[in-house]
Amino acid sequence: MKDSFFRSMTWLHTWAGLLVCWVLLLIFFAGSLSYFRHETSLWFKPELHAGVYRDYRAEALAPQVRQAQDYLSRQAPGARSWSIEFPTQRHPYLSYGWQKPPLPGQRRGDKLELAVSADGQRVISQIRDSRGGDFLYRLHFDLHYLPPLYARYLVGFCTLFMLIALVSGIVIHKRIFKDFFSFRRGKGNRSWLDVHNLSSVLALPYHLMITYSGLITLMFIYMPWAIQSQYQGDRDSFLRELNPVRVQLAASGRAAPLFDIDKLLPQVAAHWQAQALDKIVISDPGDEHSRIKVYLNTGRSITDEPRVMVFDGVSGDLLQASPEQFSAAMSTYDTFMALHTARFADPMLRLLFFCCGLLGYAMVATGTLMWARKLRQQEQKQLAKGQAASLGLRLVEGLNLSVIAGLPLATAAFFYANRLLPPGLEQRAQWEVHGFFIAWGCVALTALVDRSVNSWRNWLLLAAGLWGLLPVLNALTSPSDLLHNVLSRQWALVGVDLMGLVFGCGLFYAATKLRADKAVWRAKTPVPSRASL
Amino acid sequence: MTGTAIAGVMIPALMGLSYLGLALLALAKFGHFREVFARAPSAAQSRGLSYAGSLLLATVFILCGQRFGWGYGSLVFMGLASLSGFLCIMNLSFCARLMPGAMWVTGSVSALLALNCY
Repeated sequence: MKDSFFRSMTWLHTWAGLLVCWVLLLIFFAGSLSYFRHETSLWFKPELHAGVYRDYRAEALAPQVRQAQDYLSRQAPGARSWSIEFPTQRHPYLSYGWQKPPLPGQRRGDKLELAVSADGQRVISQIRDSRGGDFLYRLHFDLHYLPPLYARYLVGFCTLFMLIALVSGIVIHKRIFKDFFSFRRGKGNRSWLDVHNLSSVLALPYHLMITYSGLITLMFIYMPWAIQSQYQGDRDSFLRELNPVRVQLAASGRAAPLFDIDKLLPQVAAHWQAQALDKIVISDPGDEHSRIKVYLNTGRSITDEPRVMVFDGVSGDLLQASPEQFSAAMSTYDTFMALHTARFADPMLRLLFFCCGLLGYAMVATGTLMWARKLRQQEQKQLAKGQAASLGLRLVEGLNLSVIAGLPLATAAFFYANRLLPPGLEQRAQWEVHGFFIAWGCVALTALVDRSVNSWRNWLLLAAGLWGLLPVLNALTSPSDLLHNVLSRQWALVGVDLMGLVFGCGLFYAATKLRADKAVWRAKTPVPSRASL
Repeated sequence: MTGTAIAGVMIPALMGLSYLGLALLALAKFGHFREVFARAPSAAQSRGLSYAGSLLLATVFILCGQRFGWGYGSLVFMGLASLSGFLCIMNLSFCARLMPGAMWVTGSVSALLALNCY
């Protein structure tokens, strides 16, 4: 037992944080980028960058819906479902989509999405196969190559430790208010601790919120017992009771003509006081059990639960509508979900969330870097005598290099793979993702042998170059470029390019700073075989 | 003005004000006051700065709540406070002497913008 409360909390903070820090770095990085999931996805589909984007117009809905129903009944008569997505702020184009019946061995059929040109004349089907922002979004809780369920348990475990590290961190940081603005430069460990404290305290409400709500989002996986005992393990019946609108009806197999969807629009407009719509989804079109679901664009209200009106697909009768108010428990859950995903946020607030997420990344990164420094200082005597570094030190430094410098590089590689892989490549979307992990693997492999400041600098410089040149890549491989996107007010595309420039500058600054750091290190110690951060 | 245009001007204005509030709070601290003015603050000055800073931040919170609704507004406030706190720290650590000037400029510009919007 540690001899005092304060010391045991320090111990807890160190070890709870360190055990999971590298997974947390991945979660924070990919999670922060997921705030721009749809914007990233737009950037990843340059076929849509010219002549496709348009604004939502309520008076154009009826002809759009008529045209869509006409097109889908010709092109996708046997589909499991159709969808018509209207232009919204983050999906600035009209699109038709459908889900094919599942192939043998598939749980769900493949989904297709075709965009309609802004003049409504063309349907663009040649869109490259790419996961775009969805990959980064999934990565932050599914970790890609692992089976999703195990990955989510692992992420939940790490999140729990993150919460412990946060609370114990608050306890041991005794000078929160006194040191609120303090950053002492060029003072070695003290400076690193300052940055660690600043990045934690500045965005503390965010860190607490995002960690706790992160646990809440997957709470039915982590704590399934209440549902199991109340519903005798029948999870579906719980979900049905929670939200009757979500119930899916199996197809009957008997054909029946689909109702004209545009005739429902006046009723929808009356029910929701003419608020903007998000999309219409038709399940089992042409079947007796077909359902037409109309989704409201919930805009800036802090909710993640879709507001839906469900109509009978054959008779056009209104069957159900989402309640205006959910139960207290449901609203609480919904609010936490919404706070975590920030789907309601407009670009400004989204940017603030993004910055807070990056502060979280900085917080975890400085924590692990401090640990590596301390370990190296402890072993300084042995290292000076020419003895090899301990396994712990090699592990920590290697993982630091591969994760902290590797993640930005791998993400840049993912963006480049999207534009540079040949368009007809088999499983193209999957290869973009492989590109991410190949680049990351390269950093990790070099980290096995070379963890010197030089190696850090080279990788950071490479990542800085790739990110900084992102607007150039975009200009060369899409019909538009940064300047034209600014002029035509395509802020989503402009934003991704600008993010590239900002990351490029930041990484370049970090790389140049490393040189200065190395000089200080040289001056203080006689030729260490491997300098460290 | 349309809703988005107002939000477009409002956010920088509110951000400037919360920067000013946090800068006042920072100057209320002995160490930072000395870095900026090269002399120690009197007890009354410290207290005054800290009251002024807190009051200004509270005002920003209320403005956020009124403009965006209390739920959305409090999120905007948290985000703005984090980001402007970051600017404050950069200001203090890299160019502390410029702080009073920066406070005057941001303060007056954002106050004007904010008045224009309400």
